[in-house]
Amino acid sequence: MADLESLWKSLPPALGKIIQESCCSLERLEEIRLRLGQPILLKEKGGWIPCMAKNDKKRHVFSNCDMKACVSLLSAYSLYAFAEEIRQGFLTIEGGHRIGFCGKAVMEDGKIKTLHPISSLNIRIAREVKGCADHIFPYLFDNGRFCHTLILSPPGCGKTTLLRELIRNLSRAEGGYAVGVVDERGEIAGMCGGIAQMDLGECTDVISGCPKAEGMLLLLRSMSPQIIAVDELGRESDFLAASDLIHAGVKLLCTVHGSSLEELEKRAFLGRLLAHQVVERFVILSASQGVGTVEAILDSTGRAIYKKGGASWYKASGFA
Amino acid sequence: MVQSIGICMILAVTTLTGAYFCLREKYRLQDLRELERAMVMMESQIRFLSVPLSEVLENISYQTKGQVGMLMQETAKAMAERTGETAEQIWETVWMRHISHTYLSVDDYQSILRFGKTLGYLDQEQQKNSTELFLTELRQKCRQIERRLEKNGRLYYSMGFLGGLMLVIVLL
Repeated sequence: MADLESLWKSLPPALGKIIQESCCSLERLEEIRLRLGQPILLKEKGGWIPCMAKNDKKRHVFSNCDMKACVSLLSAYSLYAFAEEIRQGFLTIEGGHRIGFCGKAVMEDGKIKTLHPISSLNIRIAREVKGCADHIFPYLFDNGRFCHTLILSPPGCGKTTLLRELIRNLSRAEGGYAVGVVDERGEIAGMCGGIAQMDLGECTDVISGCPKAEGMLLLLRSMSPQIIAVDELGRESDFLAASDLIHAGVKLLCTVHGSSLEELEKRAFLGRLLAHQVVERFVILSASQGVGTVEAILDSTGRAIYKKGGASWYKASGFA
Repeated sequence: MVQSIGICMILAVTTLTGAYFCLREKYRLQDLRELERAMVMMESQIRFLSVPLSEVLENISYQTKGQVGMLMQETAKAMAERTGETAEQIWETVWMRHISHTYLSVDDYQSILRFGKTLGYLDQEQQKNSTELFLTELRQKCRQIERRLEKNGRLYYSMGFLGGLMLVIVLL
């Protein structure tokens, strides 16, 4: 479920009220788009609806004044403290919600220094779907030993949500696995003031805002984890670090973009990793029956040990 | 006898009035110096630490004395509560509530409110610059008061006493 109270606290009260009034079901709210001079758009169940106050037939146009107030509140009156986040284009607020920024890039030495003025905001509502990994959890073990696992799916199919749930399950499993999480973009744990906004269990350590490759090696050195979880491996350095981990006695739980093993094999660095058959479980997700449909779970040889049966966990939880 | 007591009272009251004017400036200087100290801390925390404004103000409140410390603490608390007000509104409300307990002048208050308008939405460079500008203004005010006190400090006492003496002579 989503912690929306913290979101309303981070928006100007008048704007929060209009959004709440316009929204058909707050439980299904996925995104809020705020663009200067344009109506506010809400994404619910995959479709966009314009924001309209209850007693007003007109669409609420997002003004410069609204933007100033929003940026000020979303950054807890401290935009200066989030220079790095603005440079990267996003900020995670209390509740784990992610705010994406867009505007005119101010460059310095060929790099983005800041965005000024900010012209659009994209608020992505963070959700936890507790229990969504329960049915696949036993398949990720072999003789009671957790296997190196890779979750793959195209964007928007629920990789991060499933990863978060697996982390919690591992952390809370009997005996409790020490899980280290590299949360480069703040999407897994939603760290805010040193506290994880998402429930990741008691045995989880999170390093946030750090590049994945450095984060994985840092966790390995400093926190002696049994499992390292990381979202969206993509760069060469990520795969090199992952390969190091696999050969250092630590189990890897990660996600990548892709829809099939064949697709992954064609990717330069990932293909090399797969060729050695070090990844022991592949969880293939899709949105064929709603977000979070587990198409299959494959072992290291590509043999299916679990095949799609039943609805997606999003559907089961009433989201799709 | 009654006449002597009256003369003494007039002299005491006028001398104390002179002293009040002198001390008021001294206390105003103290308040401004404390505010300057707070702003120096704020500027360095904005420059070197990426912590939210409410935390910056709370840290400052532990290291500043008197009304300024209290003001910083109250502002930090209001900002942390996030009731939907802008930083400018919070700053203004808190200062308005406490300004009468300080020795700051109307002109000082206007400068403080002007600074409050820049809080909350500026990036690091801009926020640092606005704090520096406010600091320059505060330092200028302090220098002016110091010069005035140096020049007129004793004069306030003497004027008070002499004014009283003149009144006594006129009355006699």
